[in-house]
Amino acid sequence: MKPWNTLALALAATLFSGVAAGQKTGADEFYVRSARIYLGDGREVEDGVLYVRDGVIQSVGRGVTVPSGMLTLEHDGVLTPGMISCAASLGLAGEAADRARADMSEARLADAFQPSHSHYARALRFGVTTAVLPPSVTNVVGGVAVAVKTDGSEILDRDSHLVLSFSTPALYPAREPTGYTGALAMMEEHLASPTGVWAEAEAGRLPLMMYAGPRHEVARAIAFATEHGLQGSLLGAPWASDVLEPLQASGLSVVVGPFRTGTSRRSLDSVRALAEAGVPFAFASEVGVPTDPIRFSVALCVRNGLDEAAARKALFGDAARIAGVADRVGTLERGKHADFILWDGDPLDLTSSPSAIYIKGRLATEEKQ
Amino acid sequence: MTASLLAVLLGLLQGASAPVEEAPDALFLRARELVVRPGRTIENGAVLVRSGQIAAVGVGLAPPEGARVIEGDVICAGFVDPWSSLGLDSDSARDAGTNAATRSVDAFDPYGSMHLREDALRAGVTAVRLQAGARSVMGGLGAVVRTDPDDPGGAVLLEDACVGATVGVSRGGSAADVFSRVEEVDKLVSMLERGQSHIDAMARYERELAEWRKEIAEKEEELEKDFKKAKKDRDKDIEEAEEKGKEFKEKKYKEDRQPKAPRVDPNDVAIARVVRGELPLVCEVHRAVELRELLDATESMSGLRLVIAGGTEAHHHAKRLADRDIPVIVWPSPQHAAGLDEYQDHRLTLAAELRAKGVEVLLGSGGLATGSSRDLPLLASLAVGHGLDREHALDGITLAVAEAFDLADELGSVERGKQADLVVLDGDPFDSGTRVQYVISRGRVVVQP
Repeated sequence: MKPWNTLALALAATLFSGVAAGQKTGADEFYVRSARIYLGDGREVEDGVLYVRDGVIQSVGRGVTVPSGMLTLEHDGVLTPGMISCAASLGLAGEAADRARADMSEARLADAFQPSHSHYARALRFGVTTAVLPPSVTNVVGGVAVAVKTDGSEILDRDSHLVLSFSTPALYPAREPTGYTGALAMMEEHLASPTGVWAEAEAGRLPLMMYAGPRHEVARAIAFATEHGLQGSLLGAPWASDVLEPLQASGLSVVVGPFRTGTSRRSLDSVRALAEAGVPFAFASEVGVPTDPIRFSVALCVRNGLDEAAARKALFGDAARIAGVADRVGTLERGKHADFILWDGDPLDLTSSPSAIYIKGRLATEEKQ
Repeated sequence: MTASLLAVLLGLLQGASAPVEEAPDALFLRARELVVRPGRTIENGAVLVRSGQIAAVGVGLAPPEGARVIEGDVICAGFVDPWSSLGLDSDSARDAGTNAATRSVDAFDPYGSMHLREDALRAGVTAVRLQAGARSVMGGLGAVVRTDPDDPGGAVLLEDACVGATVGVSRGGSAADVFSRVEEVDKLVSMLERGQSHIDAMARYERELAEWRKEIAEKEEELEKDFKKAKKDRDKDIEEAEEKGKEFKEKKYKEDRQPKAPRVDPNDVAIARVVRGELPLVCEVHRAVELRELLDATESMSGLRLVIAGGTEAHHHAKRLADRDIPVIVWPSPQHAAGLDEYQDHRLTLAAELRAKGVEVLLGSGGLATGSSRDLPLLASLAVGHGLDREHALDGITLAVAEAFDLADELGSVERGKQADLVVLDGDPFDSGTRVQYVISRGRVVVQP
């Protein structure tokens, strides 16, 4: 790490003991000047300033002037919003699945929110500050996903998505439905006279998240959403670009990955095709791994030709929109949560790492020296 | 020193000032930054390639007439994955029934997984070490092959690059207890001892054979000298025997008993090559316990050239590894290596930690997934992101690999006389935004924009 960065860190550490103390008096106000700022919507600012007060972004950009005597962090690297994982199974085990029943419509993953689990701290250290926790792929109707902050401070959206599975893991001989037709019939039945979460979904207040694998599953999910005028995203869909036209027409977005080493070129090409066609996409993550799977997935895609600006949007702004929390996080804009990361290089480069991570203006974790 | 003087000097050093004759196959590459070898970079350097070889390297070279000229931002040597199974089927790669003489090239399918080999090539990976038998104690002879599926010289660079072995890996999906794992070290060591016995037996045999030959020669000489007398004596003996009605018996000489060659087991022969240090022994071992046992047991084998693959807990023995110049092939896997128990303490800082203690580090893609060699540069980036310096990261996928497998005369750096395996990039090899623009494999342009 460059000495400059270390200095900034040391400064951050000392300053933040002050800020934390000041919090009690309500004087939680500071500026960060960074060599480069990615706003999260694809735009970037050279030598910009972020102004934070009471955990909320007051202003950001080149033109922000710092009044003399104000607390200012100097960062000789890149500042970005916190990353958003659109599907993470933080601390989830049995809570996310029910092998005995296929229909878990009223199950809420918010009830499985367990921020003391080690997965949260790990995700946070990677730079993921917000995550959507969906139920597992093994239930036809998995229930309702939750969007949370990974520092455990907050549930951003208790009812973020109704999660459905169009994929074979939801179909097995031990209980009904055992095939695609039965699964579809189960969902159609709910929509025939919608109540509860299905009524919310039908009214457009609860977006869908639909697990789909191969092309025919993707096509089925798109047709289902289109027929009922439902919005949301596909989850998985490694070759979604095979059905690009109906996908574009449906207005659905796609949550891809996580991609591992050796992921087929076809999957990586699909992501590139989605970006080129303007289909919004973001990344899923996994836990219990030694590095951030989202950044590795993105790096694989970028190596395969994915446009870098599109990749950045997928980490921040587009991910927030897909997660349904774009009104509060995902981009650096006035009024949004001051969730941000100080990096020692470009977050798209695997050679970089987060030096310090802030949630609502509070230092949540920093790199150990 | 002025740039022009430097250019002249470099030109002289690299033999570029000699008049160059016209050749249709000449290739001339120029870059803002030419990485001759890890840690040695020439600004605005150029490389002249002829007949598949690097003919000249330096500053201020001019392209010969008719040569194809390629320009780029960065040029470095082709990447070599020291731990791969690209081109092997997964059954052979994970074979649990191989032995020391099993040849990985026998399982290598130069026509299989073409698209994976093309992908690896497009990422700048020009060669890989293949190792079959990842679930056997003795994996057998590993090979180094080119990724270029159309290489006219055949893809195999070295069919006996090493002997592979494993100790304490999960076999059949489950992890063995510590006793069985340590027992595998004993098993491996007893195999090495059999190799040593084979060497001893062969030496004894050759000694006895030489002695016997010498004695025969002496006897022949004696017979030659006293031939007439000896013939007379024999004739007399025959006569006497006939008189007595007995059968004549030819005189037996002890020299008639030619020493018998020892029985040769091809596995022992392969291991003997390892014991003598002709080939490195690449042993996949992860846990500190087995590694300690292995280091203890091989301490006295002075000829053995050990290379550790995996080495998940190798940082516990870093000093010993450094003292004995044992390189470690680290797999900076972003995922938890197939969930295998031996990788439980897997950490991405391993490469940096070992390097900091003076251990030579090679970076590989783990040998289990055939498509992973493509991602070798990204894995190296990950290692850099977790503390390894860029110079050693590049070394770990180029020159250090060539050196470990005795290919440094041919691969691993951009130096005169080596095979022309080159990567032309539009930026730093470890930045994700960087694109590989050209790849040259043995002088052929196999990837271009």
